[in-house]
Amino acid sequence: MIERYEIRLAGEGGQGLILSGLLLAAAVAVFDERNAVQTQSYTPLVRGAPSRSEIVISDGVIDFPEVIAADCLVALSPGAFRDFSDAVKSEGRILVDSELVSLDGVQPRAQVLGLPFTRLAREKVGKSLAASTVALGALAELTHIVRLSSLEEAVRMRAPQGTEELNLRALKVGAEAARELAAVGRASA
Amino acid sequence: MQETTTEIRFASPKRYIEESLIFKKSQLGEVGFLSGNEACAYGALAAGLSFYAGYPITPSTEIAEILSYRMPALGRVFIQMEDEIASMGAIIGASLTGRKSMTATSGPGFSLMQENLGYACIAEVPCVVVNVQRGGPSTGSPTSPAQGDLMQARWGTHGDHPIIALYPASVQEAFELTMVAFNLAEKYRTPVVFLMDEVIGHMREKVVFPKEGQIPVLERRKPPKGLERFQPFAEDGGLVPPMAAFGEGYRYHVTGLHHDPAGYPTLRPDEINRWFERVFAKIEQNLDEILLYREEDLEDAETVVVSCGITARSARAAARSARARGQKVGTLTLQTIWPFPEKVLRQLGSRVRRILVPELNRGQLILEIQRCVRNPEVEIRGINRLDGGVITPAQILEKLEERSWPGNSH
Repeated sequence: MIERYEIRLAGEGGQGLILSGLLLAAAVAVFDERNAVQTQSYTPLVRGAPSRSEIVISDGVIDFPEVIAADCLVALSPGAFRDFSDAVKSEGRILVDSELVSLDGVQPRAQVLGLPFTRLAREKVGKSLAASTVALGALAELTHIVRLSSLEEAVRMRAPQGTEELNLRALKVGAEAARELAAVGRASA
Repeated sequence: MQETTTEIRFASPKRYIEESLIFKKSQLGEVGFLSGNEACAYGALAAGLSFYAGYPITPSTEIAEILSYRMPALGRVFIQMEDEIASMGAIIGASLTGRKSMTATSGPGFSLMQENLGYACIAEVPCVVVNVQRGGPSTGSPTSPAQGDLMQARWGTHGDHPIIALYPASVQEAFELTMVAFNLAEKYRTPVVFLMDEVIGHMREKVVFPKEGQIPVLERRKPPKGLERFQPFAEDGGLVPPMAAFGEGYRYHVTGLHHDPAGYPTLRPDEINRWFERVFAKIEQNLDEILLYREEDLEDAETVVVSCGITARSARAAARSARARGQKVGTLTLQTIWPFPEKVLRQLGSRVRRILVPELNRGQLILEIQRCVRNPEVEIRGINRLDGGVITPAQILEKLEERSWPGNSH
């Protein structure tokens, strides 16, 4: 039973964060049969400007649709990490693109996990634009807040035409990378 | 006076929705995951929208975008006009030929539409005008939510006139109330303003598409064929005179001047007066159908939070928290914002002690509530935010718990 679980996907315009938020929320709301609301914030400038997508998940009614204190932050840019890492609950999680975001000087209360989402997207999926979908796959594996199979269903239904296979591969790549990261974590613990 | 009858036919919304929007068929029906703007566009199609003219503007653009390809695909008309003045003119003209017509805009465009909106009022032309509000005045904050157009929706055009304005607080409501907006426009021969918040327009939620016949689709009443003389504003045809479509046989005069039952300009005080009496009566005598609102936990409430749109979502969350802490708080969410539900507020004022009105403006809704609640024992306070953010449940809760409320001091 989830009362309220809040996810913030943050980065820059052009990284596919709005679409990822839609896919994640749709997967939860329609295929996991929970309630989910997705909101977004963007500036009129489009590419390169700060962009974010927020998802609230609950088994009950969701009145307020925006993030109050995030349970999970996915940060795909240094600015996103700097601006939002303090707004994550201490028992929450932060996933960062480890090659784009430097952790120097910022010590959030929440646990920080780094994976090279953009490099994985470029090298294993063939398109760096798929970085945010790679991150979704990792998020599903690490938080279990959404079933990977539900994300796949959402991709099949709603990813832009012609990008379904690419996005499905991206989900898989992200989930595998997260599994490896978790295994390394267990081994070193 | 003769009873107004309206032809009713049922439509399956499914026919107007792209297959790709339906994620899943469940027991409830077909389930999609949509934004408020998408829901508004598809709700309009489901209601029988057959003519759209508009000029895209943030944060309403998705409505025009979707209709730009769905309307031609369904054999209906979409026109991108040169500006919002022309857009409003175009939908009035199309409606006079019998088309269900709509335009969508935001604050700056809504201002430009006001003159022709008045024309639709005086000529009693059914149409739906969507205003996805943004921060204003002027260009303001195009991508930020604001609720600054409540009064513009009521009094934006000049002269005395009735108007209907609806206001959804969820994506499901955006779909359903858009259908209702068309029904009210057609049934009462009036423009209907559809106010949305930027957050509702861009927020995505699960939508269960209404099943076939679940929401009726109303058509305007037309005169019988073969009349010797057709009077477009006849006084003996009920409060809402039948409306002939241009191109179907009857020729008649339409003007922005005050007019007689035949549609020709008049300066006769008795005719002008009868027109005013009738157009106000057709709304005021049908408030039971027109006024839509949602009450939550009002039975024993001492404090009521009255709001609309996105602010109502925060109000409900805050009210629940306050109840959990032992405060008797309820909420009233207005889905019909105009005509204002005066009686509902007056009655509320006779049984509660405090009314809190959160809104994303400097206090527009609260003015109406102060006007209606004449009980001096009731304390009415507002929460206002204009910086582009939304009012949070925490802000409302904090206000509810302020010690300065009468009765809160102990």
